[in-house]
Amino acid sequence: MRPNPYRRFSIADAMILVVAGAVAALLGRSIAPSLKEPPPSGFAAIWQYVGWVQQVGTCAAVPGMAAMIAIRLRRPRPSRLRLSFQPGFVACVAVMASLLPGLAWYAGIRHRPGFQRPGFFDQVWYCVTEWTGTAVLGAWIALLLARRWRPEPSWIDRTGRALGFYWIGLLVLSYGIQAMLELQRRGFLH
Amino acid sequence: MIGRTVLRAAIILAAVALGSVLMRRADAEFELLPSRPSSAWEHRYSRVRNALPWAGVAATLGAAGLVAADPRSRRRPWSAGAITVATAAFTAAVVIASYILTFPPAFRANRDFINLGDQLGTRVPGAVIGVWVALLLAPRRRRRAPMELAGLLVGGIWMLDVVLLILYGVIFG
Repeated sequence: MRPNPYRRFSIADAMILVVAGAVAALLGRSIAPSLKEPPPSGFAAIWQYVGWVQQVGTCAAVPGMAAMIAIRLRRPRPSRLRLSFQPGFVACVAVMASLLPGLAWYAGIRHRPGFQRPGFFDQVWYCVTEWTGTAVLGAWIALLLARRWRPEPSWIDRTGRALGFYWIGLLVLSYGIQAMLELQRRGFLH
Repeated sequence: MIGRTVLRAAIILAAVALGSVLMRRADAEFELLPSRPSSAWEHRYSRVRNALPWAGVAATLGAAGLVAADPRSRRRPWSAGAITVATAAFTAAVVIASYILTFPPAFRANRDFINLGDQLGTRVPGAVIGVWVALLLAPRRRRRAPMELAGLLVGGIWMLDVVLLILYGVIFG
């Protein structure tokens, strides 16, 4: 019987994911005070729930993607060239790179008076993750145009791809909600 | 050969003219805003950041025209410059289309260029970051230097907006 060429889930992977989970919980706790109770029904409630998915989801997705990079780089791993062809790994690296401008901006302004009050974290977090969705989109378009889209049928690359699709889904969702609000304003939706 | 050079020059001139018109329009809308930044430097900074995405749009269109006019640029697999230009053009087109189709008219009166500039200034640099990450992870053999330069210029103009944002704390901190 041929051995499975792809690495299986191990205890060390679980430990990395536990650390990512802890960071996600910490970020989520910082976001929690700004989450408002949704209205009982109607379009505004949907809008509120989408906001929850966006805010809480990004707090889980960012540490998750950092963890996937660490897991992917553990031995045995594919060659550097093969890694650069895997959409899951490229999406994770693109998201991490896209956080840098926002973090640098925050480092520059955090000493200003308004930026230390409680509850400001959610606005900072929104700005820090502003570039992530299109970064994944851009990285995947580049892979496709360069004919380098070679997904690996393993749990590591699949998880990376799923997290990448989460960011693209958020982009589509934000435009979709905007379109629905416009339709509601014109009287097509109630 | 001369015909191709003339065509390239015409595309570049058209892009510069378009950029000038778009930036002036964005600047005119900015000057109509009721609230003004406190200091003169902050005002200048905001004016530059307001007009910059429109320079990016014109540069992207010009570079896309250069790619389309040059059959060597379209040869697969695409060069890094052509990929950068194509991705920036695609993202900008999606942002502009979604703005026109979905943005509430109540917020659009005399503010189209400002609103759209804001959205372009966020979405397109994100896509450029993604493209550059994907290309840097596995560098390609460099070829067709003018097209690479055009891609770098387009990406650089979009990233200038991000650099200015980062410098905000340094300049006004």
